[in-house]
Amino acid sequence: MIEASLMDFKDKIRKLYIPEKVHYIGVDAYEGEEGLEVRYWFFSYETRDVVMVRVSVKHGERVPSISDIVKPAFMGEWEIADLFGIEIEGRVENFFLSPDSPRAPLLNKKKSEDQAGREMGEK
Amino acid sequence: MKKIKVNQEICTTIPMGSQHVALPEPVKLVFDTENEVVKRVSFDVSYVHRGIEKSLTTMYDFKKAPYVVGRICGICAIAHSIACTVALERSIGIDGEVPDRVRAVRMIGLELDRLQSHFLINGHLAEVCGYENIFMHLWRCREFILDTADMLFGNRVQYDVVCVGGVNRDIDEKTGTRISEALEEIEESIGFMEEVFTRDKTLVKRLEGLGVVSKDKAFEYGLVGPSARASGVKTDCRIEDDWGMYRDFGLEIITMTEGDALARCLVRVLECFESVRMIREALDSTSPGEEIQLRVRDNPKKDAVCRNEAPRGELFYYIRGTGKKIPGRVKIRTPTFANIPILPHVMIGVRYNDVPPLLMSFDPCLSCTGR
Repeated sequence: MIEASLMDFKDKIRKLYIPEKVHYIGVDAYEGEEGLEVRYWFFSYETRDVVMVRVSVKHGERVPSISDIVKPAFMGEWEIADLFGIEIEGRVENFFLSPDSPRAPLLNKKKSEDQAGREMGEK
Repeated sequence: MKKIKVNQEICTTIPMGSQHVALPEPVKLVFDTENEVVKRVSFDVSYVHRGIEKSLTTMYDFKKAPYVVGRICGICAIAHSIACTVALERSIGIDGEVPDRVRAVRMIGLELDRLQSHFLINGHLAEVCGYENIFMHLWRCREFILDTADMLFGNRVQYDVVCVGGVNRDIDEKTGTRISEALEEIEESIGFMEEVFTRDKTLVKRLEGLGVVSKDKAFEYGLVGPSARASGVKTDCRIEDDWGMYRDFGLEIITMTEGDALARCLVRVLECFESVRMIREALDSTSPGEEIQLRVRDNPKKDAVCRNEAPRGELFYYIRGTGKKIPGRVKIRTPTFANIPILPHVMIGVRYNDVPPLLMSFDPCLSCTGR
């Protein structure tokens, strides 16, 4: 596992990711007690290991996209943006959820409802 | 249909989906075309999200998870169940104790699933090329595979045979013999499929050179499964993350270098022969009557992953064990999810009437993607 911050995670991924040697699996998020984590998963063809790059993110913080380094990453980024309400650079809204779905359904229930309420208010 | 300007050219916009005869599942593709040649593509997959990941962390304890994830997809149900189960067993720490008989039964289930899935998509591919008779022939062969699965597991598609720590059903000697006989018939059907996709001149011409993905592009876009192997990428999770006995049985990774729709189709055909061989090896490797279920006393307690080779490619499961009955997080990355990003690139420059076979050659599954 590679720990990274919002400041340096792209550099670490740039160093790690060589398309012929390292396969990009996907991106995931997790909401723990200390806040959100964004996790990027890779697989090394040489060592046959799964490598995770973990980045801690605060609610509302904007996460840069890695699709300039890892081309197919945008799909997973748009997915976690929809499911966790994470602000990701260049995201397309409602890519993964239909417009009438609850917002950020994978956040814990209370936050999810709060966020939905806020968005309803904005409308 | 409407006309818009793209880079100073007058383009016709053609929406395809969310419901379309060439699409078995709902996805919306919007093409900007000029003289029927695709200039730009955008897509929308937001039609079938069912919140299964959420339900696994709120509603179901981990022992029910393999059955819940089996409902993600009707075609590769057992691939999901196995990936989830193996990840849970790794999280609990019992993956090393799983008996060989269990591994063998799981392998048989997964390979039967691969066979019927490959027949399904190649049949569909023939259908969108205009060969309805080949579609019917291949689906008749697929029916026989489904009947074989029914004979083994009591169900045609949702086997529900995998559970944490083992399998729910063994294969007795009599059924084993019947399966061996059935495999001969299945092998003949694969031979027929191979003949169709290699000797039928019209079909070969239609698919040859369509939607070529070079090896470099396949690496760059992280393609998985037969789509990656058709471009020469030698990757297969059955070897890379072997939860069964694939390495012991010497599974051959089928690859081609052409990277076109025909190669993707032929990789699937050749993989079917390899699947039949794996089933035979698995049937011979162990005997009925051995232990088929471990007693599971612990809850998932650590983070674990599993990469399983579903019929469409790499299926990734991540389980965050918390020591409780319900995991903290279950992440599922399906093969179609990995194969979608390249689609807009391979479709550009293609004639609109070639889009359905091109799309089908990637074997998309939106039910898996949406989850």
